[in-house]
Amino acid sequence: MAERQVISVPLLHEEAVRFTHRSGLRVHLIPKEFSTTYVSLGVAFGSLDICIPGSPDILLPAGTAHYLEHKMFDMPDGTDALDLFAALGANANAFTANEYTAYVFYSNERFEECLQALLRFVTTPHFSQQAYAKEKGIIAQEIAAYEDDPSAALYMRTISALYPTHPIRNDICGTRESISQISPALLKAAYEYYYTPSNMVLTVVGRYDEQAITEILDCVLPRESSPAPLRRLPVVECGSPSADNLYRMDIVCPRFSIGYRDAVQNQSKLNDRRGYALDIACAALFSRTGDLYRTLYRKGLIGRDFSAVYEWSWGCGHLLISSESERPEDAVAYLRDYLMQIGEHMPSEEDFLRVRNAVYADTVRVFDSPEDIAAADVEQAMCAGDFFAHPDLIRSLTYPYFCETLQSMFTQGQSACVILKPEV
Amino acid sequence: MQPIVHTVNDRLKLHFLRDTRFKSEILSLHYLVPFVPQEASLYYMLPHVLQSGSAHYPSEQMIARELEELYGADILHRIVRRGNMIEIVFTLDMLSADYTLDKSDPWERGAAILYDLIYCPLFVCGAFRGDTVKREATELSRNIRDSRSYKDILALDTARKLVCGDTLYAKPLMGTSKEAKAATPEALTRVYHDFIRQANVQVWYAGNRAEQTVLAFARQLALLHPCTPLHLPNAAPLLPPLSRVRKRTEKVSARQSQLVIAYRMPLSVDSLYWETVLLFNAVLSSSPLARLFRVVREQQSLCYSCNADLDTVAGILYIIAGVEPGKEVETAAAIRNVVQSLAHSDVTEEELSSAKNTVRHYLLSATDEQSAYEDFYFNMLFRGRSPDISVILNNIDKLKKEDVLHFGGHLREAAQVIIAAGGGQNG
Repeated sequence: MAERQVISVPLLHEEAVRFTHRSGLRVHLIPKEFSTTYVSLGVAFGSLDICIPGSPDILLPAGTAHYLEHKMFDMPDGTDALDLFAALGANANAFTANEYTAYVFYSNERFEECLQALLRFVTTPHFSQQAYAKEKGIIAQEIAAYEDDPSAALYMRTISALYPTHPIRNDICGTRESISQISPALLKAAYEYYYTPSNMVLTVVGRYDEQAITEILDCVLPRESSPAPLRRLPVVECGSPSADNLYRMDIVCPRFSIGYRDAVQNQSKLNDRRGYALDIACAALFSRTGDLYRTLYRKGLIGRDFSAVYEWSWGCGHLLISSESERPEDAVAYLRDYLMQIGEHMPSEEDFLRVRNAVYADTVRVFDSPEDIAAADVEQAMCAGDFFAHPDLIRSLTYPYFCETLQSMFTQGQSACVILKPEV
Repeated sequence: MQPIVHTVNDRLKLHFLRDTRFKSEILSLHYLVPFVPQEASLYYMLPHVLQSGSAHYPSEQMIARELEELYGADILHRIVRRGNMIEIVFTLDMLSADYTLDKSDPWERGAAILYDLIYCPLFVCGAFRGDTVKREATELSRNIRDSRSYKDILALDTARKLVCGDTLYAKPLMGTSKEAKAATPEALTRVYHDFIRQANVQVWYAGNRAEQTVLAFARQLALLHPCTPLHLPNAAPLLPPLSRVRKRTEKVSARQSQLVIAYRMPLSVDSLYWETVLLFNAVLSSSPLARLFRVVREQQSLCYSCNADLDTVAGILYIIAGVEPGKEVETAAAIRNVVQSLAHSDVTEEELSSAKNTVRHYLLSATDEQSAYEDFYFNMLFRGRSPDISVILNNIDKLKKEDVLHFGGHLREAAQVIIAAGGGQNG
């Protein structure tokens, strides 16, 4: 076991224990006095992992990580791993993100048996032809559900327009065409490359016995010679965005989305200082506290759902602004003009400090939910970040840095716009 | 984990829960008022209009800034149907003073804003402002129309209307687009005065503040609500007797069809009724061992999602599935078989034990989230039930598989809705 570290945030009275197990698995333990213990096992294999490196590389169709997540629950004896958790009185689930796949359970009792079950099923692959074929239809229906959802459709079309060549443009589930190219052999190959203990992070939040956890890990996981970094592919080119895009759908109200690509956030590690500065920018510029919202709302150009968000993923970052609108073209034109002259609309230092405190409070509130803590911890660990460091990082942000970041976002970044309108 | 209840007067109670585990404090005001179908849109608009400006904070921007100053405190509202009443809840969520960077305490200003928004509205000549009402009416009307854009919502809404016929329950909580558009400042002002006059008020607090501070706030509110007897939700059956199964199919432009089968459930005031419903639902749909998931999705691969949605006040069980076009009839037959199997065949001990675990887990987990516990607590309170989780868990343990089968045997199919995907530009 590599050195055991105790990380603390004195301001919040929070701490975590971190160590690397002899198998290479990174372990994060976060004690909390909740009745539920929440566990997340993150595997550094997400929708952005589009190949298995080798000679030659094996290309993975869009949706491979997600397909593998669905099939991991099949056990060799024909049972479903979810049954094990249900029998133990726990809830289990899994999801695939751009950068990773997470297997989670939460239990009120028999925590150790549940942990053992989690580790066993993630380390016991079983890819039968019959079960594999059955899943294809189910995933096709999952894809269709997202395609019919106007909000999800608007989001995916904006991302696709922003990134013509980056794999983030693909839906995490893939498409009907791409999943038809996935075979049991391909899933097995992806599993063998990515599903190793040294490519995983285990986060436990709640009440636990550290000694018992270590004994379970010793019992279930193999010993690896040396810890290894998470397996990450090189950053991919993003391509030139397609500026204006109109789609029609069976909807009642038109909606629009504008995406600005972040020219600076293009590395494999999140610049979380910049990320938080742009989170503050979203709240300061686009929320109900700002003049922009009031002006657009009074002109009837946006609805109450008007929102802006900054997102980061592997090698790319973007700021998305979206809303319902009866006049989407006018709303887009107004916003583009406004943001092109961002220097004239820079939030004041007073605004910056007020919003910075609010964003700080949001990160503090994460500690109120075992589920949110586990999700934030795994997500950050997968992106080489540390969410325990975030409250201090936000406190240290300065107004000049904020202005500089905001200026660079809208003057250097490339943009794309998508308008969804009712069918004619 | 039980709040201390103070009866401040006949109309107002404080439910005070001291809980030091969280870094936020929650102060919620729950108002119960009768549901008047023809005024549904006005009641739905009311919290939006109140939150768009008050006497001391005349614009939405000013309110938002004040709250942001308090470390991003938030005031949210929600509207819930409670039998023949509706509940309007305003919640103030703020960071505890122990965790603010300058150790400032957001409570006093936060509580003052909440009070101001509800009790000091922005009136011009004794009524809400015309431009505010017009803007909110336009917004609500658009939202009502836009709900058709989401096919699962459309399917559930259609099923509810078919099952409820001409009753109070058929009326959507938001009203209709036409009613929303017709809202006037005078009508909304009248509704506001009715709301304050009639409301039964329950104050909820969860956090680490001294009880006396919150009690003083509750007493201040109580002065604004004259004493009259309490009127809690009517749990009596609201729906007409079942006649025939009503069916509707609508073709839309989409990739996936939505199927809803609605059943009327037995309603009872039996002390274990709610526990039986929870357990039946766990056997049917709320875990991976549940029958809908195992049979319809895993064995027959007919859909990605197939879930039950329960309305325990009206007594309606909805089963909704997103289905591949062309497989609607097959999926409907599979769902009917699953429901019938829970009435006529057996429930295994393994299923029963798993379902009990699911319910136990659901109840215990609710105590770990501030908003989840508040929801659970008021659900119990408005049912006239004790919110003591240990009592409910004991009751669940007492239930046998015969109870589940007996409940299943009394389900009656009431409606089937198919929102069929069929071509179009998204099809």
